[in-house]
Amino acid sequence: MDHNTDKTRSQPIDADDDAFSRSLGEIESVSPDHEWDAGDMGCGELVFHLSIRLKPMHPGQLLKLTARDLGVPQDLPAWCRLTGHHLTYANHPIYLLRRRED
Amino acid sequence: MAGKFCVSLTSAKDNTDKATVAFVVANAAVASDKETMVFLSTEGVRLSEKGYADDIYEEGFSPLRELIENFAKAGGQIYVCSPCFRRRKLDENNLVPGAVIVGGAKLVEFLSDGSPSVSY
Repeated sequence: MDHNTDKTRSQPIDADDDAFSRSLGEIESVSPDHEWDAGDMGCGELVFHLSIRLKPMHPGQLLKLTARDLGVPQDLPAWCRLTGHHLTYANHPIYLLRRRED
Repeated sequence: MAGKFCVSLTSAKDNTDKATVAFVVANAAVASDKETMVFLSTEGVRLSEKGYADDIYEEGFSPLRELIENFAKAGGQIYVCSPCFRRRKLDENNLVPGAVIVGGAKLVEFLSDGSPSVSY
């Protein structure tokens, strides 16, 4: 898949391939199980609170995250690779995470 | 010899000696075929702005601007601490080549498989 041809993405983001397979329109039709607007929170604070929010969710449930910090496009895919949570959509500042299996 | 190498730098014009030596060591690492990353945090993030290092020259070393440029040209990565960058109100559209704004998880991922790290 050539990510550079996806006009819905504002910048290249190092995430799982299928994070780019949906258009913005498609993602708006998805009903996430939870939503969180993290505002300008980033770095360690963001992933710490993200971890707390994902923990009580059921495996496979979706969290729609809005996070505007400049580091998030790099940081969130890295955090998902570290923790096993799945980044299914990334178009800064909107992200969709699928909670990992326990 | 493959492998990673991290240089952590927390100084800029507050300690130009440290800032310069950090990039000298980073260049040594990248020239030794290491996947090398310089992590800029606290005051160090100022070095990620184009032009900031232009007047930093420590006797006995190459100018810092040249050291940073050479590092990026050789494939070195510069991770810039996002909250440190934001609180100093720097311009994300004016980064030096090789620099990318990251959060803590990106650093943790780089280090998590056993990268050595030296701090300045």
